[in-house]
Amino acid sequence: MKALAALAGAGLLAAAAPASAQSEEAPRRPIQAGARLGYALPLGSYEHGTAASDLSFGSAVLGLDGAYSLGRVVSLGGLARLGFGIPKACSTSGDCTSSLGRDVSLLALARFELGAFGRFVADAEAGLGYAWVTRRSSDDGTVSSRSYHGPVWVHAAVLPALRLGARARLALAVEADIGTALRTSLDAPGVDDARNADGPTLNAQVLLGLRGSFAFLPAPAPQRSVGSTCARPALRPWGRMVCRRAASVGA
Amino acid sequence: MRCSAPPFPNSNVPAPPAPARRHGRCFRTRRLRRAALLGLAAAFVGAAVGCSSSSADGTAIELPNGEPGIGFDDLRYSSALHRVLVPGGRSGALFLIEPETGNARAIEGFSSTPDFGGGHDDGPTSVDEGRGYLFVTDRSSLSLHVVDPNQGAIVVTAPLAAGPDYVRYVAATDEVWVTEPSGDQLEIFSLAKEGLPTPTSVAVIPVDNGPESLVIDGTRGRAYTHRWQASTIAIDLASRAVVAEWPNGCSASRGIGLDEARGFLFAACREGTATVLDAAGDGRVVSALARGAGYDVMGYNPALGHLYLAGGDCACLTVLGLSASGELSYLGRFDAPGDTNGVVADDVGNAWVSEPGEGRMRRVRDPYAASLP
Repeated sequence: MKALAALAGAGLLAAAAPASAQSEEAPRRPIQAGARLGYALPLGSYEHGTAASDLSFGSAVLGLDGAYSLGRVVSLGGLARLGFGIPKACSTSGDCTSSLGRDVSLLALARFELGAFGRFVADAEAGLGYAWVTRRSSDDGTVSSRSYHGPVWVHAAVLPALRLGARARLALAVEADIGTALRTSLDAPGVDDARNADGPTLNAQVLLGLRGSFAFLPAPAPQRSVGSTCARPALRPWGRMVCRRAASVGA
Repeated sequence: MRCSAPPFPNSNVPAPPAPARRHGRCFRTRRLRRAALLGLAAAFVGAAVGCSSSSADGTAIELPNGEPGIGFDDLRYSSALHRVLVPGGRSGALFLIEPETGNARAIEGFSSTPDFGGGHDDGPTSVDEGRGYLFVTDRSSLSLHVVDPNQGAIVVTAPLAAGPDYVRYVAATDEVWVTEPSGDQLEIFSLAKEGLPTPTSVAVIPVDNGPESLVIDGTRGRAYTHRWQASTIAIDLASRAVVAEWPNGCSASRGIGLDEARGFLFAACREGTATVLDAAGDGRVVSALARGAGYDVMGYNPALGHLYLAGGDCACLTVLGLSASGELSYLGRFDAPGDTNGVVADDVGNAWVSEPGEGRMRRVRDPYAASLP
């Protein structure tokens, strides 16, 4: 775990370095979409007496995100994730398959461009949202499941990426979520119980994975000012690049 | 960091001059980036809090010849002997531990093997006390031993019909009941009325998909045992007939316990759920609480109203409180060995947690106030 924290710190340093030694600005990316795949390690507890890692080693997580650029640095968007909890207590392949957990989270996020160095760029994310976690245990087809849901107070991520052309990037995703479960339920033979979680306690997950992203770049504006080139590019709120009037060149 | 206007895609026009560095949009941009970095650092540090590993709580109680490891299973406490009874599996010994001092006395003569390969398939694995003797099942030799604790020796042995799991003395009928899951049955032994309690096999009770665990309810004249999944059955001690079957809240049924005076039956599920069944009534689940995971053999202290659940999956010892109405509440959680599979309570406020890999027990002091009046 300490190694994971160290890795996260190293990622931050790696992201910080190009921010101070930036040699080249990345092209403006008004609308961005991404998909990520990773492994999430559970930390903390969902309620008093229940560690997030009690029933699961971790989760394989798929995520889809989208964001709209508000300026040179900041984009706003959302992230939806679906995770499959890897069960600890199962003895056959059928039971293990039936015991896969389900993690769903929906997050609103702000993404910050930290800087660029050659073909390398780094983004960071911060956000919040809501998460639903279900842990299942199947034994010879008999299933017991525990569920928790509650807000994600903090989502943070650093995404050091390699540019793959003007539109695409492939990034290492190092993410952390911290949240609180508000409600819990237990569904088992003879038991159907839902109640407020015994807390509050903090749960967290640290995710390590890859993110591929694609930017919908603005189409070149009609070149109507100086010859065949644009002397004064400008970005319209809907993401389209246009040229300003030639009279303003050099002003 | 260079602050300049972004290059216009597909443009061959040089970028305009950079603006003054500490003014306007460029300065705000740098502040935004710094703030993002600081926020990230704080988040990752926060996520790393609580990640440090910790060792098991309680006092380690070493057992003779335990170092290679012992496949513990059933654990008992004898109020009459004032000893924790620990069948020593591979070691070939039954250990009697004095709860205050932790001194362990070994009674030998059971099957033994030098090496521990995990699991609990070797030697003595279950014990119960009755009529001043100890009844011990031996998985290697498929036998039921009667031990005289005063002599510290096996005095009588009887063969078993199939691989044993739990052994319990039934005072109401002066019998010994042995669960034999490999044969899907309970085997019943009558005891000689005079002299040594020599066991004689007299009956078997078929238990499909079981039996797992066993507890005797002398007040209601019943024995309770689990099926491997989902339910617990009640067997009449006199007629030896299955008289009830109740859902127990478990996908994987494991440990069992009983508050005989109050009529509450407990089920410990491998997936970390503990339930209270109304054994005095219709057997419904009165209360269920899911904490931890990996539970097997459970302990109960009827004076405190505390349930003890130890699981390897959570590497934890969970303490639950029982109210007079049968409601469970969470009291606390201790770190336990990552390979533990059982716990037993004594009558002086300790929980005893097995540590198979080290071939020893851990004594954990229960700090919580009584849950029952």
